[in-house]
This record gives sequence, structure tokens and C-alpha cells, in this order.
Amino acid sequence: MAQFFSDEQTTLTASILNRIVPSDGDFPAAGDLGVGEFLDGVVAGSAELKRSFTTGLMAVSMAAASQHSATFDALAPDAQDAILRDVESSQQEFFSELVRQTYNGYYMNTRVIEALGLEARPPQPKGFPLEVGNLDLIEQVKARGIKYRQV
Amino acid sequence: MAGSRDEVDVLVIGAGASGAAFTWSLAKDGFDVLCLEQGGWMDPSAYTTTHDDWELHRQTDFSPDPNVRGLDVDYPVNNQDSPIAPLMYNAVGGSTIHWSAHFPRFHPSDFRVRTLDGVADDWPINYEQLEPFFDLNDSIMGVSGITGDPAYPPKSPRQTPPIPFGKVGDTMAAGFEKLGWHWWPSDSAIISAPFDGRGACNNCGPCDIGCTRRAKASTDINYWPKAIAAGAKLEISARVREITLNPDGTARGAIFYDADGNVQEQRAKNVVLGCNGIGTPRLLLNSASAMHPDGLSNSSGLVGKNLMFHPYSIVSGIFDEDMESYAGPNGCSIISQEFYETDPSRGFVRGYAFQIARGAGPVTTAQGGMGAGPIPWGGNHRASFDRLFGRNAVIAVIGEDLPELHNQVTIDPELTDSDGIPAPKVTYTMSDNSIKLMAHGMARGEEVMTAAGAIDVQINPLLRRGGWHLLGTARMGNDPANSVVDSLGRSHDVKNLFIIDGSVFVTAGAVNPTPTIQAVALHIADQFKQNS
Repeated sequence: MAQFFSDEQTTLTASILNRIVPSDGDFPAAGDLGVGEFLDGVVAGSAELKRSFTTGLMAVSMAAASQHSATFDALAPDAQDAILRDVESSQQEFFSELVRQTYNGYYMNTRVIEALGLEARPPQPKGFPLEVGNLDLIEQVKARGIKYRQV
Repeated sequence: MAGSRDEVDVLVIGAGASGAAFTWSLAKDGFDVLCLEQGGWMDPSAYTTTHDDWELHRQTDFSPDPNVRGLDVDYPVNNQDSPIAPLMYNAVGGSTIHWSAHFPRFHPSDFRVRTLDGVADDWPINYEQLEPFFDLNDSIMGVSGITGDPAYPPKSPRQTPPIPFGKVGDTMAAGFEKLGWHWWPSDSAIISAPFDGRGACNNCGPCDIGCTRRAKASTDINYWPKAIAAGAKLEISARVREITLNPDGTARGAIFYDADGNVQEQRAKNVVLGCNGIGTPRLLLNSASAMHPDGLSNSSGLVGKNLMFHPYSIVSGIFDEDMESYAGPNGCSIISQEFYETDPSRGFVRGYAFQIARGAGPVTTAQGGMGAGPIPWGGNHRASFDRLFGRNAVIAVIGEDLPELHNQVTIDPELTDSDGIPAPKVTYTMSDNSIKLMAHGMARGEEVMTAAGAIDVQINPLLRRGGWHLLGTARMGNDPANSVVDSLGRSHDVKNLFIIDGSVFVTAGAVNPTPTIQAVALHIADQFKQNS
């Protein structure tokens, strides 16, 4: 159950997100992955975002209707992308927040993190192994002599 | 009516890098010290590095930008007239809570820029005087590194071995070697082995959202427990509004809002400001009175002037192999000071350093990290991401900006904090010298990235969210007409008022300032004790 988006907005958002991050091999598209639910939660928490997303999503729907007499989700990917590029320049605040939050929701998703070949876990408490590195190389730096200015 | 409390010998305002060091130094020798801090205690076990949504916190409630965090303990900063946004944290520990703990010292030449290069002013103190305090500070903070760096006079043994290079450090070191340029394992205030009851770093990456292992030094976990054990008092959620004066013109104490929002006056024989290069001038300017109509301790007119940030340019290299660059302390691996000292043939004075930083987690990578913006959406998105993630290394070019009167902190006419105290505004532009210097640094950064084997190099010429270093706004000097405090940190105008934070810096050097801020604070504390 969406917190803020209407049913129509939920469907529309999923279609949009599938174009922001399309599927690629093991990586699902952002809309299919359910990033829309994450986005809904973010938007629901901010009066400013409610306003800009209501306006921005309406702009996408109206462009689809006026240019193609169709709903956005019924359009071919190229036509969808063209509309999104228009909205990106006309509704900049909406669109940059849409992209930002899509990336946020997508790249903290367990399925995506595992597709990246990583363990789906936060950095702590396990941390990461790290090579100490080639400390012998510093002898060459020393051999080049004093580097600071004498005063 | 203000509540009144018992007078203390020394009142320190601000519990960050400088306030902690100063308070500890006095408390361990038996002085009666109270510190007021507007923030609260952090709980290291609660830092979000253990949360699944850890990467989101640096965009929201753990943003380095107080305007983004917008917590009640923060104060807003009007940054509209500055291409660099000031960053800070407000808590016991101050900005050491969210810093990356890169810990290079100033150089001897940094204290003599007028004599050597004919610009700015010399400091009234020098490297030699600060050297014992650099060493003392290292022994409390805990520094990993290795001695023998030819870019510095010899240093005392580091507390633990260097932070592991990882593939990023190894690859970049090889690039510097190819060009015959200076580089060295960073001095990092992050312990690589257990030290002083703290756990070793396990290379988790995001130092900027707080260290659950207490491997990264922050003054809430090192200086403060020692200071409190020695008898220092620390009051949190205590936000100072103004410094008050006695009829004879000496400081009487401070008026502050306590944890319950009540106005209190704390009287003191001496008042010490450690509120950073924005908070300190803000407090002095907010303490204007009939005796000091332009702000307290401002007979020189220099309170708030000469703000220095260190401009940062970001040179990102992409490599054709997995470098696991998200692993390892994100700000610490190796440094280069090949272009640190003045070379007149370059067409500018002073210089810059390279700080080699690592990549980031998946979310931050998609958002563009410290680059110019997020990676593209659409059909190329996934390929763009995979090309970058784990495969990038970052050179942060940190340049020395010179003190200039028009770069300044003033009081915003409208903005206030949650207690209604007027908030600061910063006004800042980069000088011709700084612009030339940074252009040189970007070109050399690209050169070494390519030498290291990067297949693509991208440059963000000026990092907007890069105002970590807040310096110069109440500078020290021997001439009261040309400085705010003397070489002992004592106000020229108000004899029992001291400033111990980055505000007193005469010049900025081209390295992260915290070790030098703390060494200066310990030097001022030492002189204070000797003169008491």
C-alpha cells in the first residue's frame, strides 16, 4: 500500500524507473525491482517533494497524452526516454531528485548488491581485508632527498 | 533574568579538536576548567556503518553540511555567496566526528610566507616551537604512518604502522614513482593496530559517517575521557550566545542556553574560544557592545576577515581492473607533496598537495562521489556504473588559498539558529593566484593518474561541498592593528580572552589543518599554564 502515490502514480512511477535504470543481465530494472516503493516513502516524508513529484509526474503523463495520445507505460522505450529528457529540462528539481532517490533505492537493494558480486551487508562490523602494499618503494622516495624548504 | 553559577577559572567554549586538547592540557595540571558544548555526546556503537541504509545517512542526518543536516544542535550558515560550502559537525568531538582523519602537519615554510614569498604574513610562532606539541598531540590522537618522509623534518615514531595501501595506494604510488615525484604513506589519525584501548581499523571505508570501532581518532573518545578523568567539567547542550564583559573591559563569562533552553550566565576568570573559523567570529561579532561596537576583540577590524577554506579539485581516474576501491579508509592512503613549496617558474606562489582518496560504496558511486554530478540515467546507466564502481581512484588536490580581506564571515541579517541566535554568512571568492595554482594541480593530477594507468580521467575543478577547513578569521600576530590575538592566543583587546581554533591561522598551508590546530591549542595551553 503506497503511502503517498495513487494507483496511477504507482504504475507510472514504475514505468519511469524502468527507464532511469533499465534491466541489464543479472540486474533488474529499477521499477521492476520495486524501487518505486522506496521512492513513495521518501516523497511521503516531505511536503516539498510531494509538491514537486505531483507536478513532475503529471508533466510526464500529460506529455505522453499530448504527444502520443497514450499513457506513458504503453509507449516504446525510445518514446519514453524522449519524454523523460524533456521533463528533465523542464522540471529540473523533480527530475534530479527522482534520479537521486532511484539510485539510492536501487543500489542499496540486496539483489543489486549481490549482482555486483558483493556480500549484501553494511561495512561494519566485518570491514574489508586490504593489502598492506609495497612499503619498500619508500626507499626510492627517500633516495631523492630532502623535499621541504629550509627556513 | 539569567541564572548565575559559580565562577570557574577557565571557561572553554566548544568541545571539538582544539577545545578538547586545550581542556585536557589544563585539567591534567590541576586547573579548574569548564567546557560548554552546544552539541551532545555521540554513541560510537550507534553510527550507521552497521545499518543497511548506511550510505543514505551522508545525504541526510549525517551530511557534512550543517544546512543539510539541519539538526537543532547545528546552526545554519548562509553559503550563497561562496562557491565552497562550509562543513562542520556539532557534538562533543566537533568535526572530528565526521572527518576523514587525514593528518599531515604544516611545514616549516608555512609559518614564513611573507619572508619567503612576499605574500600574506609570517606567523608569530614557528614549526620548531610547535614541534613538541605536534608530537604530544599525536600521542593522544594515535597516528598511523611511517617516519622518514623527506618532505618534513624528522618526526617522532608514529603510534601504529601505515594504513594499508590497498590496490589504490599501490597503483598510485607506482604512478608517482614513474614520474619521480614525491609521495609518502599518509599520516592518518586512524590506528592500524590496537592503541590506548581502541580497536584497530578494519578498512570498512566510510570514516565520514562515524567510526564504530573507535579506530578513527575523534576527541570524544581520546582527549575527553582523559580530561574528565583529570577533573575537567564538560556541559553539553549548552549553546553560547555572547561573551559578557566586566566594567574594566575584561571578559566576565558567557551567556548561554542550557539543555532546557534556559538562559544562564557562566562567569569565568578566563574565556577561551574553540568554536572553529566560523563559530568563533560569529560569537565575537554577536558579542558587540557599547565598548566594542564592531564586535568583541575587533579593534583591528579583522574578526571574520581572511577566511581560508583550501579549494579542492577532484581528479578521478578509472582503471581497467577491479581495484576494490570501496575498501579502506576513504580519505587516507598516500599523499604527494611534490608541488607543495613555492616554485616561481610555475607562475604562482605557494603550492598544493595531493591526497589520494579511495572510491565509494554503490550508492555514493552512482551519485557521482566527489565528481561533478551523478552518473547518467537511461540505457547507458548500468555500463557507466560498472566502469566506475570499485575501479576508481581519486586525487584530491588541496590548494593553499591566501588570506584576503574580502573573504569573510559576517552575521546574516535574518538567519538564526534554533535558539534565535543570529547565524553566520560566508562570502568567498578564489584569487588569481589560487586559480592558477589549482589549474596547475589539476594538470599534474591528470598526468600522474595517467602514469598510474588510468584509462579515463575526469576532473571536478572545484568541489562545492569541500569547506572542511575553516581558517584565518581571528588571526594571530604581534601587531594589534593587524591581528586579533597575540602569539599566546590572547586577544589584543581583552586580556583574559583567548582563541585556540583555526581562526588564529595566519595562513592556511596546503594540508588538512587539524594536527596544526591542535598543536597550536596545546602551545597556547602550555603558555597559559606557564603564565598563570
